Amino acid sequence: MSLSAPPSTGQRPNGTVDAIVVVHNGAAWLAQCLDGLAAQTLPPARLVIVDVASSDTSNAIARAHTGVRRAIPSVEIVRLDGRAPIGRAIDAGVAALPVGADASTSWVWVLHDDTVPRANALAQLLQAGLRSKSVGVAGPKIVDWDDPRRLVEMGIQITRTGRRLASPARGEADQGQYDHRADVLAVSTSGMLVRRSAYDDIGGFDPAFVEHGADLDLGWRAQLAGHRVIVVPGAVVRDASAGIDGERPGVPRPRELERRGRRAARQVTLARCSPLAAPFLAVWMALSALVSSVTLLVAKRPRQAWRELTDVSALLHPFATLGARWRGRRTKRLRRDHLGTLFVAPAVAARTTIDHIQDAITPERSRARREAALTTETGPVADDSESLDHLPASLPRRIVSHPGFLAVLAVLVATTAAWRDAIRAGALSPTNAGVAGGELRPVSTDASGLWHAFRDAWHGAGLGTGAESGPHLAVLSALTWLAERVPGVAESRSSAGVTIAWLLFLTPVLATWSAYLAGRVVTSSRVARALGALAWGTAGVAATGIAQGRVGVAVVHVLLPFVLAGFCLAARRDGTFTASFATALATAVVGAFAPPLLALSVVAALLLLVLGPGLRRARALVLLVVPTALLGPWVAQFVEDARLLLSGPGLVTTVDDRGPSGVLAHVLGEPGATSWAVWLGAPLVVLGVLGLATRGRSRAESVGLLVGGVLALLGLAAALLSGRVVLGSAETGVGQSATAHLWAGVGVQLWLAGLLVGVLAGSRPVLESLARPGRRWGFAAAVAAAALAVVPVLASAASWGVQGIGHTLSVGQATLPAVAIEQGSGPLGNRLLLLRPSDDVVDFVLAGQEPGELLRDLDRTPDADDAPLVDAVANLVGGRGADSLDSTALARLGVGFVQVRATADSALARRLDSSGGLSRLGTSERGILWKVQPLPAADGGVAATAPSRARLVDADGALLRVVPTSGPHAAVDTMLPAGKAARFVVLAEPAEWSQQALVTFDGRELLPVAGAAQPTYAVPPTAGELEIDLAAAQPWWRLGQGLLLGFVVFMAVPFGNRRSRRRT
Amino acid sequence: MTTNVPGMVRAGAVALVAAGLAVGATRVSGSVQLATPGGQAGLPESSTVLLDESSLVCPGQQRLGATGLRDVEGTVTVAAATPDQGVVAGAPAGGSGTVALLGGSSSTGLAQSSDRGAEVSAGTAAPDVVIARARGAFAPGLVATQVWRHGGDDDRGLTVTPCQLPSSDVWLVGGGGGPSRTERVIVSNPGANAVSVSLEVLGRGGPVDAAGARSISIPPLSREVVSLDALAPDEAGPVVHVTATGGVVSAVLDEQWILGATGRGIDDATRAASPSTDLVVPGVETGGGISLRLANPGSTEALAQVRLLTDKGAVQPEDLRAVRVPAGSTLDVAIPSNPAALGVGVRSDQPLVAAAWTERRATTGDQMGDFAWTPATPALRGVAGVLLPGLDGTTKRLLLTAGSAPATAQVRLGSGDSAQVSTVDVPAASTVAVDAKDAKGVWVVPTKGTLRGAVSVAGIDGGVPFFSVASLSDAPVRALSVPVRQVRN
Repeated sequence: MSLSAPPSTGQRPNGTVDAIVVVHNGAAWLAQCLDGLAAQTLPPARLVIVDVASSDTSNAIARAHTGVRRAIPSVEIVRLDGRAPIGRAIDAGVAALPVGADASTSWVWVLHDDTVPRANALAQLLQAGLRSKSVGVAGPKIVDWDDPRRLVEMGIQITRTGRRLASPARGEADQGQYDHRADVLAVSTSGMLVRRSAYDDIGGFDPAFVEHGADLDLGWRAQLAGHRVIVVPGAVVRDASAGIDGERPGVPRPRELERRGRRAARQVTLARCSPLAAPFLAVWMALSALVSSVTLLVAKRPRQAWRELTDVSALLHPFATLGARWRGRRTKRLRRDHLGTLFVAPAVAARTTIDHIQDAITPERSRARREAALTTETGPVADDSESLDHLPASLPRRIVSHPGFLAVLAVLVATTAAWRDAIRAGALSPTNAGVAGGELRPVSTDASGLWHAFRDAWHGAGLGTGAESGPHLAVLSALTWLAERVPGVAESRSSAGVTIAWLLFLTPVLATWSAYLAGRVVTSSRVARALGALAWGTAGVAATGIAQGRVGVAVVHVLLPFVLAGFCLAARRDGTFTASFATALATAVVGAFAPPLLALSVVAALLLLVLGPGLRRARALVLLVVPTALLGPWVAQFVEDARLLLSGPGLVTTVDDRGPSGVLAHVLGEPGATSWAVWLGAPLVVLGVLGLATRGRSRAESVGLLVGGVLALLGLAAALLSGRVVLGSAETGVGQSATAHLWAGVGVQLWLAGLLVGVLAGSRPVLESLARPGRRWGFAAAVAAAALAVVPVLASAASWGVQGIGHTLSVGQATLPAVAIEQGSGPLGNRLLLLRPSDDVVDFVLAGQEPGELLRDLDRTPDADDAPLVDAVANLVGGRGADSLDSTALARLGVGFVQVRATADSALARRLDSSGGLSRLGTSERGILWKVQPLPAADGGVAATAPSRARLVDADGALLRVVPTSGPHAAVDTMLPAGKAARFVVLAEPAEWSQQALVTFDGRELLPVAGAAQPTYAVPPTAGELEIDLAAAQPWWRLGQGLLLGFVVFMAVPFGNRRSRRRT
Repeated sequence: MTTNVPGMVRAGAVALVAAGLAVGATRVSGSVQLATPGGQAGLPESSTVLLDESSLVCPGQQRLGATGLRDVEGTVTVAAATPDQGVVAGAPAGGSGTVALLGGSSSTGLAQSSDRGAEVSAGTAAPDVVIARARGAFAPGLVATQVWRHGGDDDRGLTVTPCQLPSSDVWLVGGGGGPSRTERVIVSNPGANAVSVSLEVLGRGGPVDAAGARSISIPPLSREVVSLDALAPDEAGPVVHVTATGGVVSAVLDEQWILGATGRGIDDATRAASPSTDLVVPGVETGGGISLRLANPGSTEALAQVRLLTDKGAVQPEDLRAVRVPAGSTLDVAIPSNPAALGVGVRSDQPLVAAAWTERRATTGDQMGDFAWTPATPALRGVAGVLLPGLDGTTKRLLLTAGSAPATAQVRLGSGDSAQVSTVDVPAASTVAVDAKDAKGVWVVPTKGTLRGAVSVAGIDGGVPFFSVASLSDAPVRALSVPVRQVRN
């Protein structure tokens, strides 16, 4: 209704209006513009068309337009030969107009070539202008060229600091919400009606602001000179904004134009504000630009940040600003604070900013597009167009009927059923230490223990090692750290064990969820994705892997769908860098657990780098470089030993299943399955292969299906070949190792993933056929295919739930004697020697506070560092020595306890019983425990209660006192009292330890005593602080990895919603 | 609808290649080895290695320190030696070492030597355990023997007691009923920690109840002497089973028999072979009464066949063809006298423990005499020996008994330059006696077949015989070296 203009009275108001149309290469719009002029209910008396060096047919159109000549008696064309800014062009137009007798009743109406005034626009403007003598400038409501229901501008809104506010926002629906506006600081020159006397009074446009900011400056100066500037909602001008939209040939890019506009607004503000405020304003502009630029950078809006930063360039031309201020001094009549109400109030500006942020970060609703279209619907809606049936369902109902949610729920139920025995035994309880068995070793540590095992230069179980540790420890440490935030977990004996148990438990659920999300790259059908996700989540390969404690397989199962989808997105034209960085991060995590997949991802990224067009190469580079760089120096060891690239923690197997049944199980995606359940995989294999025959909707999709097929074949080949590549040997029991090779399940996962691509792609024609039954046979085939897909998957999930996870994983294996744990993790830091005798060999574990290997891996040749330990143990378990042993060798190694997994009447137990310095503490089902006597104290020394990791000795090596440790591998931070004579600190660590440790006394670095059997450092007799720091190995690498990780996470996290990112 | 040829080609190719891979995997064998798998991750196999430290436990002065029994003062002579160079197979030539005798809980050094072949000997009159210890190159083949020789009336007799390797489980066969027949069980703990020892006694009528719960704790490097009469009063045929928990012990049963006013003798019963269905008691000296004591520790009656392994082969006395030993009981069977040295072979359907008792008595006066217990022993494998300190003027015989196959042994009489080395062939199921003349030590190295042996020492003192038999058991030479392997968790 606001748009419907009041009928024109037809009576000519008291005043003459001359019109100026500024034309510059506006052939596309000029004819309509002139049509609009001609159709004015109140046509101007004269028209001056200022042609600013148009090189197109604009000039011809202007000359040939007869309509306007019919309506306006005097039409004159002024041709400017060079490019002139808008201000100059208007000045030239005004100059071409004769000066009337009374300039106060003479008006000039300025139009751009890409504007079309509504028929009553001029009448409305003039009417408003004539209403008060004080009105100097009147501007129309500028609306969109294509859709007049959308607003473009209604007066220039600016804050006191010169920030232009898009109010209304460009494209905002016009519902009359701004029609109350009257007085504004300035209006756009597009459709501006200016009183000739006012124009002459302020001297037209200031030479400093003739292009950008010209309208703002003109209005501001008019206001300062006492001429009101108003906006007239009844006067409507359609504006193509050809300059801003970049449609006009030969003008700068829209972003550049916007930047210049912002800068000009700041400059105008600096020129027209109070001279006292100007310096402060300048500082404020610089600061706010900097702050908002940084903020936007953090929010990953680099372009907006750059735009904000360019505001600072407004300060770079102080002389132009000062000149404009000097020139404007004459016409200034009002005090500046009289204009206060014309600026946007700070509160409003702040609210607008907050609205912007909120708009950018609130999650997008899936119907956003339709809702946006509805906003311009102002009239009443027909009842039948929005019947209640079409209303969106309530949120709970939508969730309950969501196929993805149902799939996840079904898998959760099946998982819980499968884990029933383990849960009953307390597998997931924080009071226990998680599960162990199969590939998973018992673990009792926390996030910090895992972190030290990853980061410290000297780390690992037993005497430790200086070799590079696997980055999977860092991942598990991070997961454990997160889990420790959950109340109760941090107090657990083994928060790491509990976390791993939960990870294994939740793997099917998480994998289902990830497969559902990732399936979107193939099909948008929720039902198909849910089915595919269900098949993936309950796949036999995952169930087998989990039952065998293969943590790496679990992680791969969860992340592989994301990684594959991420690679697919990176190869697509509409892929984003955010997704690529997220994919790179996921690939790194997958690679940390499964190096073979890292190798595969490198090959895939290389292919994309070579074959991909345009930006895809950049994304491929991200996928190529980031995972490798994130894994850092660990990757370098693959160069030395390529076997490691084909194995991984918990990824090897010593079981040979190369027989026909094994091959069949691999092909059907159920490695290790022996029962009839293996055949449940068959329909999926058939459907997956058939699905690859689906016609791709585009060439890219056909390529995608081909890649899916290749991936499947690669996986199958890997699964079938892995058993034939002997990587070495792996431990199979106490004292035994067997030929080890890569577990076929890793290949089966890829095979299955490739087949699921086929299943998802093939779901499209099937679902179409089901939705629109056409040919009878086609419908029947679709029903059969759907049944063939759904029934075995559900049966497989149910069968898994019923059968359970087997008995390989069990609860409570990580039970070291409480007294040993207490002393081991305390300041004594001593160790427990666990002996597992067998007929052929005695295995021993040196258990300390440092966690051991979490997962079975290939056997490595023993470190030379361990020679003293191995000798001591060999001596202990038998061989050359007599029956009566001496335990001082153990005490020197910081061994506080010896536990033997044998019966009391075994020879070894008797041997230990009769050993000097060992006293039996008791017997449990886990074995017999002995306590090792500490080394005897020197004269005047403080006797120890138990052997310790670090000790202070005199020149003869006799114990003076125990040095308390503060962390793994004899990290020390303690005050040592003064001593009398020469003294040494001896660490129960191997000699190589001293190459990595930094030992300082009162800040001075100590050097190890050469030739000592154990790391020994001479400590001055004065009191002082002894510090032993196991500095990070390759600190620069670690720092780089950390920074890169931070950057990748920053890049991978989407900030704000997709809509807001698109807008920038 | 047009046919989707590319799609069908795609799916067909995938199906074909997959089928090809699967079929190929079942048809083609062979594998690629990127590394050599090791059964034990590069560790050596278990192997036997020469010891570099060995020790034997001698009971010390047997006749002191028993609660409720009369102490008999006296000195025992303990001797220890390591064999000559070359006796221990595989031992490197040369090398230094020490042999020492250590007494009591403070391990007081009684004697020590660093000369190979030198016999280290010392007398001890204290109620302490004596440990013979050899280190270095002297450790393999260490032999120690303890000799008690006492003249006079009641307490007279000769006991030659081989010092033993400690173990957790010792069967002692000896003792008998009657007043003034006293038995002391001397249990020694050579370890550094206290050991708990329980004693079970089997008797003619089955296990002796009162002894069932008998358990004693022995402090480190100490010995305890228990009177068997307190455990099993009036038991005519006791067999003692000593089991140790928390360590290993050595045990002997010291027996003295005075029948009325007649001193019948004194001897130490040493460790008998563990219960077995095939036992051999080697070197039973004849010349007096012989009996064989069998014990059946099981819960089923045993049917045993006892044969004599004489110098002319096996002899089967008719009434020993089937001997029934009740479950949990002991049985003494008389062995018919035989002019030659012999061994006794026992085969049974249930595991048994056995030892032979032989006696020498004066033919005049009240027929005082001496006796000896010879236990069934395991076959010799390495080096065995007995030292004979202070036994000049006695008759010493080495008695070797072969198993079911002929056996050969290298016998060394004496040591050093004066050693007499000979090779002795023992026919199957026979016993051969070798005169040891005046050798200070006897060493036997079996080279073929299963061989068991004993050394008998006999003499006359004032017209009354004294007599003892020391059975041969393996000297500590090698130990099974079990490789140790570090695992990370």
